[in-house]
Amino acid sequence: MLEYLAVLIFIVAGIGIVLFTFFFARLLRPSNPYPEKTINYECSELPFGSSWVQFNNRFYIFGLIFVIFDVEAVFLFPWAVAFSQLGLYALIEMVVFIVILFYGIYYAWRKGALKWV
Amino acid sequence: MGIIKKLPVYSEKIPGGGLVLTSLDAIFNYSRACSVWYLLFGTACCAIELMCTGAARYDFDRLGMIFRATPRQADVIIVAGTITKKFAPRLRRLYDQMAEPRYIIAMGGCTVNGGPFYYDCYSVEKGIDHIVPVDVYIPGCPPRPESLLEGCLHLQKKIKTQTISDWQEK
Amino acid sequence: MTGDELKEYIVGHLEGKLKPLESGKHDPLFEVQESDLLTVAQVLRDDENLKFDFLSCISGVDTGERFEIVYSLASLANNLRIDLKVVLSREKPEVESVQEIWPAANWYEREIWELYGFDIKNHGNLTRFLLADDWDQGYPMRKDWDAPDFVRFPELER
Repeated sequence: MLEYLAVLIFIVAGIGIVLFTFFFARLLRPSNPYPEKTINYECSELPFGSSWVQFNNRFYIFGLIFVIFDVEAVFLFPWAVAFSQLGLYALIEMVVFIVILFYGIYYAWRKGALKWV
Repeated sequence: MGIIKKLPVYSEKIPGGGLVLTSLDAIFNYSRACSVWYLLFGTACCAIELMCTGAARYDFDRLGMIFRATPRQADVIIVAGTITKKFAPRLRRLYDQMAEPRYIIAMGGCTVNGGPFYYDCYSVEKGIDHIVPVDVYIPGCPPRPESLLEGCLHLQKKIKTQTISDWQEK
Repeated sequence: MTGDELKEYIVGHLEGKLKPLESGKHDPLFEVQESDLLTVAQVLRDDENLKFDFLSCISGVDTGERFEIVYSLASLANNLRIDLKVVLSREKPEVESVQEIWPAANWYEREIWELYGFDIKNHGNLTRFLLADDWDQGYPMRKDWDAPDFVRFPELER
């Protein structure tokens, strides 16, 4: 249990350093908001129209493929950690798993889903 | 925010407090002067000289001056080029959108007093100090990159003479 | 066609409407009445040997006594260039829009309306686009225009 103390110190120190720099910067920086300063930046024109635009759906496709392979990576991590205690069976099983998912991305590739344009 | 504004007042009461203040000033001014980021702004011929100064032979990056595309992240606007009456409110808007401490360098004759367009011109704003407060004027049509670099060094010198209370509200 | 041949051809085809003038430049210059402008423009554009389908520029002129508009035309197929001048009166300068014939005239006419004050009939969109957003100081390209911050080049004593 005591090994996790190092992790806790790491987390606390990481968050603490960031908060400290923000707090310290807040002490130092000038703060002078007035209406002409806080309008949206639109290359020196007055902003007009709505800033909510429709996202292209290629972002969605890429996000979807990323999520699938991220979950695959989540499965790969514990397998990799415990690899030395598992036998040949586990290796073949994981290779089969990767090949199945590889067919998925091969399909997406050939269908043109990975082209950005 | 409150502490740093009252720091000059408090430090005067403590014996030796002025020393703290000037050292703080020196540290802050040195760091600010060595990283003045300029807005990517150029209207006319002086913009070509600005680009040339930012390029390899006369480098801006060695003075710590990087270009930023938005005034919110910029320290200085090097107004390079002719500013017409049509553009004047837009320049003012860009200046307003910068965060303090902010500076303006007027580069080239057109921004100083209208330059070659002082006579017989209906559309040019004769000098940008009618619109924004200028810190450094660089004459020339266009000024050579060496002149522009000297103007930036003058700005650095100006920054080094400021105190913390100067750049709180401007 | 050379310059002189071109002059004769044009004057022959548009009897009486055009008047060739001497200009110091290489391209022939013709003067036309404001009322004949559209018919002349139509012929210049449609005639097979002329085919002036490219409007290079419309310039406004203020000579101090009168206003003029100069249409610079070019023929890409026949490699010809001419200038067409219309004289306007100083009190009421107005001219028909030629954007039916050359669509490029749209912005040129807006420009000369904005800077000189010529009234362009049948234009459809005479709005200010070159001068400042809140411009209220008249027509700057006229010779008699003045403004508080307009500085004239001083006459030097020799």
